[in-house]
Amino acid sequence: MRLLHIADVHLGVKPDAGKSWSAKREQDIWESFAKVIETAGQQKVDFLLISGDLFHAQPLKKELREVNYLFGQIPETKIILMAGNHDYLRQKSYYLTNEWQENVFFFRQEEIGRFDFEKENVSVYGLSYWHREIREPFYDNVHPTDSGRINILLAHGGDSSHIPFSAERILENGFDYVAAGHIHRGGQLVPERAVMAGSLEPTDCNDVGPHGYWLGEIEKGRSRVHFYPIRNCEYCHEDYFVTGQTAEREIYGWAEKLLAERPAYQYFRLFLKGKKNPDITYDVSRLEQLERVVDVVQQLEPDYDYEKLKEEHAGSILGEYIRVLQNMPAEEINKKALEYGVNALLGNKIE
Amino acid sequence: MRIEEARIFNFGKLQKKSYRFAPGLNVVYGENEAGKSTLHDFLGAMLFGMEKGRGRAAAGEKYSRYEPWHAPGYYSGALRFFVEGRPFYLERNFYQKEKKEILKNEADGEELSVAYGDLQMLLGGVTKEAFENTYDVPQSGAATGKELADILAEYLSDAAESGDASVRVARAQKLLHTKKKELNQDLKRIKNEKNQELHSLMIEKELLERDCRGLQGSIADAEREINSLKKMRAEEIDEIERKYKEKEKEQEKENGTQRIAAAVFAVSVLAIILNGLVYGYFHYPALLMAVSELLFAVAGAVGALKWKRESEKKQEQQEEKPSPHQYSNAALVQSERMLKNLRDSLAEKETRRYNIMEKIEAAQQPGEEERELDIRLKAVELASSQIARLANEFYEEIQDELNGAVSGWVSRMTGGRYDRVTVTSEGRLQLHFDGMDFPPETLSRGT
Repeated sequence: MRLLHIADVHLGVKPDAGKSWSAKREQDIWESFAKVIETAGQQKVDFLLISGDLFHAQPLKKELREVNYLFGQIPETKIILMAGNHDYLRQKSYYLTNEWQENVFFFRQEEIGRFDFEKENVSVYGLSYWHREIREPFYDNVHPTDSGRINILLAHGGDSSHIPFSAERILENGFDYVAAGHIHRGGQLVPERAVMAGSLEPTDCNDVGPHGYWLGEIEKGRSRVHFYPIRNCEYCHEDYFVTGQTAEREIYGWAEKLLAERPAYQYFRLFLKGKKNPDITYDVSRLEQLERVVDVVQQLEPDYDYEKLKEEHAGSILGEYIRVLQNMPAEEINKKALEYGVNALLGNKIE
Repeated sequence: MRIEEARIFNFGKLQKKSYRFAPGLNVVYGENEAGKSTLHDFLGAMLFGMEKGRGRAAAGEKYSRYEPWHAPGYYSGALRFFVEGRPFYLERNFYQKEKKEILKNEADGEELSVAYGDLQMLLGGVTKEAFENTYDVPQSGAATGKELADILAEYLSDAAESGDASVRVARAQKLLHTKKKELNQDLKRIKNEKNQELHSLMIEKELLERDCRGLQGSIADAEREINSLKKMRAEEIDEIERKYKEKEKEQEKENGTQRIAAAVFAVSVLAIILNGLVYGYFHYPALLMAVSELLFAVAGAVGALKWKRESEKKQEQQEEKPSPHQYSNAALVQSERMLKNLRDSLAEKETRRYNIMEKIEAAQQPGEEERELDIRLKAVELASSQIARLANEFYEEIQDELNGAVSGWVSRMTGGRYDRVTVTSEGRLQLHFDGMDFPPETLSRGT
């Protein structure tokens, strides 16, 4: 049995608001989804599993019409669908009133239900979200009723406020394959048997790494899945390590070179890291105007040797200040306060 | 900065005098008119310069006050000081017509320029005003208690590490305060941007709500229209059925006359045949009878024909008996289709409104940048409060030591008259004498 598994398509999302490529990204996401449908047809896929959040928000009728049309293009493929935490069901949801194509199977309840497919000897279990958050671990205690079938769980969640689950436990309960969604960074939770699909395309500049769909062959007791990337957009976080000597122009040159070398589908968040001269500030607005640069984050610390300072100023307010702040829990606020206080006590302008 | 030596060539009443200062706290004391204030003003003038003012007000200015009477061209002095361990020599002639400044690094002989701000840089950007307000505490105590306490704590903390003057509590607090102000400005900017975004979302939401209200109104209208159409249809159907029944009755009646006509026709035909037979037997002239029989037959035939036609028509009519769906249906179907469209449109707009509401809710959550700024603000506050706490602690720790030292100095300065002095938590001196506490300013009203 051939299977194609996707999740978190987020149709309707407009990533990178305010950037010149934002509208293109919205369109690209629709095109990628259409491409997946096409692939399912070409590859003669038996089951297309969509593990929630097909839409970024409540689907509009027009949007469902588009999706339903695409589903109608692959009548030989059975499409199993659920609502996730973004497009969760409510009384007036079009999900409920839409007249689906015959090959579409939509979970309507917020409790585990099942679709049986006699010919393929497959049962797919699942539910739909009726809430933005579900904290109960609904999936962990589902046991397939017929162990002779190929039992698949269509799941959405995996963090504390969205149906936390353990893939191992679900498999132990008798499932053959877990097709999960929700976490945008995909991967195999249990090799060949439990897959977090990841979002079809990244929807936020923190969704780094490749995104795409999973294609596999599943038989009773034997399965293989492969990841296929979709390369319309890939976000990369790139670090530049600054030293006390780094010039602004140097950073700009690095960024330009990076953009020239890397493929055009990659978009960047640039991080300036390391230690800098306490007197120097970097103006990154020019960097942020480069094409394909989403933003620039400065995570620089002034180049202080706290141990040495503490030693040199032992018994003074500065020495004492460093000691007190270093004894506080290593939280972001305390780290920043150490930096600020030392800066101030040394009479440097605080960045 | 640490001043090592002040050489006064000619400045007010002080001529050809040299004062050396030791590292740490130096106390300058002397009789009235000994020149303590002159020395004090000399130091200020050396560090920040001194200009002759214009016009009549100049008479009261320091320039005029210390201008030498006999040799105005020789109105000068020099300072030797250290900045970050490097020795500097500064010489000035204040005479307005021969103004001159020499600034040298004594270690390597490098000539620096006062005019180009080298001295200002050595002073760490401290301006004359800042100096007067911060470091230079005039006799009547212009510095606020808090500032003074900070300065003292800072000074003593510096003193504890043998004159390293790089740590400054008051300046640190000021820097932190500046940072806090900047962060708050950033936060305000972000909030403004966010409010703009929220504002446009709100407008979108309101427009959708207006559309929804409009659609709800249209739906109500359409429903009313459909109801009245349905009512009309019901009435029409009643009317049609009533008419149909009447027609049926009429038909019955007509059928009656028609049957009579048919009977007449039949009778007359019989009569004609009978007449013919009777004529055959009795051979009497029955012309008149034959004519009347013929007339009867014609009338009967006409009636029967009509009956036939009518009954055919009736049959047709029976097929046309009205079904309840056939009357006024077109208008109703159209209205119902319109109502469905309106309802679809309303549902679509309500979904969009719902999505906007969720966007508004999301936009109200603090974003990444806002959270980061919040952390920074908290860090500034933490740094500021910790520094204040430590300064206070230091101050308390060394207070006893300070009281002892200050008492010793005051005792020497007053020839043993006052030997018990404490420094208050506001940094003020408090003299104790004869069971009474009083501040030092009450003792002397010197300039």
